[in-house]
Amino acid sequence: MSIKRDKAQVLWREYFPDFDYYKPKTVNEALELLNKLKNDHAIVLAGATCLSRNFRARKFEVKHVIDLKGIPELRGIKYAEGEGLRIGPVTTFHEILKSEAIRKKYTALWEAAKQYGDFELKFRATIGGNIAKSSPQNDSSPPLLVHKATLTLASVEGVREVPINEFFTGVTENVLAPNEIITSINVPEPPENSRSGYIKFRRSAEDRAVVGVAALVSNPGDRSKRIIRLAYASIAKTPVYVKEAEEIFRKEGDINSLIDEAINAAYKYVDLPIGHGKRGQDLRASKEYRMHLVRVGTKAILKKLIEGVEVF
Amino acid sequence: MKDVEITLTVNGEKKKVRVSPKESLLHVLRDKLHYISVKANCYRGECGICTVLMNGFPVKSCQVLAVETDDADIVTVEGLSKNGEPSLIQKAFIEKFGFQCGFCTPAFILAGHYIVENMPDATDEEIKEVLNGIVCRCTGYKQIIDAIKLALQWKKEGKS
Amino acid sequence: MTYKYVGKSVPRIDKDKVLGGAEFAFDFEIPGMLWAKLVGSPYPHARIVSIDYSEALRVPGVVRVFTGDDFPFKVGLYAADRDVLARGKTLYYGQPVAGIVAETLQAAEEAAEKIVIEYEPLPYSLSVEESLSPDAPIIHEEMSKYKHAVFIYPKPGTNIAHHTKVRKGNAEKVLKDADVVVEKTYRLPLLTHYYLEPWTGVARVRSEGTVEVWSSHQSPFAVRELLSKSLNIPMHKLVVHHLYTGGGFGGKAGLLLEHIPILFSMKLGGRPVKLRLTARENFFFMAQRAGYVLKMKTGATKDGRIIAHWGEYYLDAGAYADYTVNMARAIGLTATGPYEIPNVHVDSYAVYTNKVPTTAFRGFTMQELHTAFESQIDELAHELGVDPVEFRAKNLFVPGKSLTAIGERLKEDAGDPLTPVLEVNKILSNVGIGPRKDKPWVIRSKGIAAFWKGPFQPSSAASSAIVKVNEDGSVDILVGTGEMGQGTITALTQIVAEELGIPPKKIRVSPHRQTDMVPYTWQTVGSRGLFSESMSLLMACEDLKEQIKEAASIAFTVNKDMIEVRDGKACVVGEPWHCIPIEKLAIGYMNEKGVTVGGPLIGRGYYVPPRNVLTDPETGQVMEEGHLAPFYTFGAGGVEVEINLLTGEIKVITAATVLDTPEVNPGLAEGQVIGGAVMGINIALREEIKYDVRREFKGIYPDGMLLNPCLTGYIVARAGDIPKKFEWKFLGVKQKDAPYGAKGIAELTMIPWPAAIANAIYNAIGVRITDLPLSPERVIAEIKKQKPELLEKAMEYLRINLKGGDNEH
Repeated sequence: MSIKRDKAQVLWREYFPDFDYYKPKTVNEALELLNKLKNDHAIVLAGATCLSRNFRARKFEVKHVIDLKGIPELRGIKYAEGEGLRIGPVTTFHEILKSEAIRKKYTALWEAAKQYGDFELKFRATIGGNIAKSSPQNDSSPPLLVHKATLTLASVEGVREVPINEFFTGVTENVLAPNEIITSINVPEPPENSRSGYIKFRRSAEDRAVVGVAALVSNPGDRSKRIIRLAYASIAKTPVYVKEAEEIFRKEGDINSLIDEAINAAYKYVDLPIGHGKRGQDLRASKEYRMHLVRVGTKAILKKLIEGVEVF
Repeated sequence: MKDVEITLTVNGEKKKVRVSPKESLLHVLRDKLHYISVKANCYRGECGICTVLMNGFPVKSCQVLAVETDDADIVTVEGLSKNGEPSLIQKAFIEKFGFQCGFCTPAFILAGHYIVENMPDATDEEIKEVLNGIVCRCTGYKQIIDAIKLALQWKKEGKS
Repeated sequence: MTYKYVGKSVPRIDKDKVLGGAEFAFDFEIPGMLWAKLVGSPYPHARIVSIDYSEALRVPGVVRVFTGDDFPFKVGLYAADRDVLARGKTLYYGQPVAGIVAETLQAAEEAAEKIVIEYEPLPYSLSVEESLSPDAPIIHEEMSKYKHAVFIYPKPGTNIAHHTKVRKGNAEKVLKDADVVVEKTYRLPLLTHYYLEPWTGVARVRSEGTVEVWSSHQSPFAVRELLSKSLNIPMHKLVVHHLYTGGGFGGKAGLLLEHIPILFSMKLGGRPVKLRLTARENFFFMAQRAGYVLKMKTGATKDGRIIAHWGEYYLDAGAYADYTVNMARAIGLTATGPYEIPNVHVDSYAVYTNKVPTTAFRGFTMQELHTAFESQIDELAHELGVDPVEFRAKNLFVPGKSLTAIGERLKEDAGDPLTPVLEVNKILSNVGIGPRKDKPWVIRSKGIAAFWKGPFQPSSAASSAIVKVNEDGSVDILVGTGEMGQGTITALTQIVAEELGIPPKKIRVSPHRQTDMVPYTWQTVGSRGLFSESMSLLMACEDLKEQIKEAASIAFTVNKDMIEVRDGKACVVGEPWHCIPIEKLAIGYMNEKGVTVGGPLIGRGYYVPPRNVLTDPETGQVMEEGHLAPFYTFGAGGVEVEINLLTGEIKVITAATVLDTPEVNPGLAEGQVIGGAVMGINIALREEIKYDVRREFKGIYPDGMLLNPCLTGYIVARAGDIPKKFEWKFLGVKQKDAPYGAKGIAELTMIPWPAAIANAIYNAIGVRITDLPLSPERVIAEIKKQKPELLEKAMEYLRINLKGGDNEH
């Protein structure tokens, strides 16, 4: 066999790499800074729950860290009846759980926040960080997908609004430009008579999603007004919105057949990426079991939202 | 980046410390200020052993950059006893055998302290939810939960 | 008889753990101390061509970089098979290949990034099957040159590190005549202990040549023996310090890393060196629990008698098998569980693979054995159509009569194998089997497993203890046992309190022990700590009382046998007004004229297991009448479970434990019962070190890597995962030559769970699962294989019924 030349394996570290730390006080200050440093290994920091680990793993080179936690305008939850919800990206999951509006109107997001991470993590981890990390296991994304959220992205060049369904492009990859940050998460007023929910399959009381399923249901019994939306975590390279489901549920026929059809549509997305495993398979589950959970989870969440039956 | 000087309050005392961006709050507390009750295990935010109270909330100190803790208010187990008298939660841990090897114990005591101070009517399920982020491999958690419940009860009864 | 302190929930004496001052090796520092960092191999099996650390040396603060060539010898206890740092070739992914020493940990970490190594990758094996195949790569080519303990039998030229044979009767022939035979293969993955204190050691060499080490270990004297032999340091020049140890579970019993900071310090003029692992490094640098492939065939007759057991047991030992060779021996010699079986034919092997090294784990193979064996027992009962409890009752050992697999006759007072099974069955008698009314896709069930275990130790495993009375009448206990959470030192104060009649709060055991200042004990393993140290302490207390009586007899001018010691006083029998508190005798008795007789009171005692003997290498039978262990604890565990047919998730609702022994401290015993159950249940359901054995992830992860070295990959139990209800009972059956009749329990509490849960699954849905963990994915896969109709039926419950015929809109 051939001879290989390798850097020694450092199996873990206590210390972060050396970097310059900035804590801007306004969005403009942050954007200027990021624009200046964007080509020099700059990274934006929020709760640091994930970045602190990646820093120690030396996952990437980092020279500049821009901490957004000092910017008041990026924090907080605003809900106005009829107008919808705006969440600052540096809002922690702890704060999301305290919001009555989210619990009542955007239940899937509240349930995802409840099941995301652990109690101690929720005081630090932020929803913007969770989205920007763009892990396929993001618990917050499937609820935002079924609620058709958009993200406001800002840079020195301007502001744009991107539907969250178009935000994720790959494992920990998204459409954010190197000089761009998320400045707001915008969720429209939910459809009339709607309910949403999130089921997370995990291996213990504290685990990332093996599969996560979010659904939003409105007027299930009335085909003319019926809206059913489905989204998933941890089944593919990105959080997945099954857009085909919207159409399927508008069709005629027995609701259970339609659900099966929607599940088949979801199956087509099951494809976990290189770096985390083979197609559909990673260390958490085989493709077969993952598809099984997509099936069980979809039926269970709809059973809950339509009939009020708690399956798990 | 050069070291910077930060000021933080630990157990009620103001401390000025020079820190580097390479360090976490965990290093500041253990290595610079010698609060050795703060333990560590994974340095990945997964085990919860390094939990301290920061601005009143339990957080994992390995995940907090030292440079972002300027003005932070920190509580460690060293700060719970008052005039040599252990706090309710500490007494309850002793009474209920809520510890074995002791390595995770400070984290659980601080989590328990948070519950006693902030969640007077916590149910078993709510207690477990707070504890889920901290790993204990010895006790099987039951005696820890029992200890927290006892401290809650004592608090209700006005014991100090 | 009731006692004042023994049997009571006396609070733990190590309260500093709660108050914040407890010191672990993790925290220990010495002025001028250097930091070490190890780097690991990126290949599972590779020749090292060159190591270039010139860049690393340039990092400010770096003192030295060491490689395997700096330490040209092997270390080990039962099989000295281990390199200090890899020499010539690496044997597993992550194996330490170089060590950096620097003034600060930051500098050591920085320098570690700059070491460049050239390797020539070699073919590698990730399973027992691969290692035993004819074209397997030989992992230890020089096995014949290794030093082994006398009872270890390696096979040079193969990957077999040890082979134990047990031959009793004629199992192969008898199995042919059995009415029913159950034959199955059970597979158990490698596990990690996940103790919370990652391994840490600080070493220095004093200027006069004494080597000192402070480290995270279970057994200071075992560490000293290992180091003395491996490094040729005389024992009086080697001091091992024991601080609090942050959990061990067997993982800090044998092959540790003390030699690394010691050797680094020796080469650096004796400067103190600290090596402290992070959890992820701990996965790679420390030894883990072996994997198992257990092939079993057990036969019974129609009348419900087990007549023969045949087994081939393979332990996946990883790259170094120091402790695992002895575990292969343990599982072989205790092959039949707590059952009398006249014909036994077992071969057990420790097999090298290119995985992390392996070692002991709480239970020392007994959870693994019972996982398989108690499944066999249940299956045999089902095959015979008899009640599994009755079937067990018929075949369990009868102390005083039964011969074990190795021909050992159990003592009359060895314990009670039967009652625990009946009691557990009683506790679960109200649990019905069948679907839950509110959630018919969730099936309730129950299952049980019996077990036994004694400490598996050399026949000579000794311990000793000293009791000193201080001038104020308080007492210091000196023992060599380790405190890693189990509470032994608290229980020891209770025993001494009881013996001397003084309150436990007047008795101290230092949290800090060092081998030159406390008396010898072999090891803190095998649930033997409290038993052995207490036996020694009882003798020490007797010795002390003799000295007290001697001094008091002079004080009262009576015969020594007229003196009794009670309530911390020496009194003349029948004359309670003639008493003298022991503090007046602590450093000798001084009469009113100033004349002092006697001297400082120091009681000394020891314990060596009576008539423990070796076994024959060809048959595994005891070489002469005698015992393998000084005690055996018998017990049973039972579970009430819920099986979710939709997800495959198993939830344990109730965990019931019954042990035959008395308890010394109910509060401590509860901790062991609950802690053992939660750990054992979690091993049954969730735990597994993963390797890409089938090469499914080739090109995605590095070849031969341990794939889940973190808590997001390796799932330990969290508070929210524990059973709703724990039930437990200690039967109080006393052994005569045991301290207050009590036997060890720490490992026992962990044994029955995988088998009990697997039996519960079978009892409810007729699906038999032989491999661990019983993860949701495995349960669903097995249901699909064995009872697919159950799953489809459960899915039917998820059908949606829209109100008022809405379905057809």
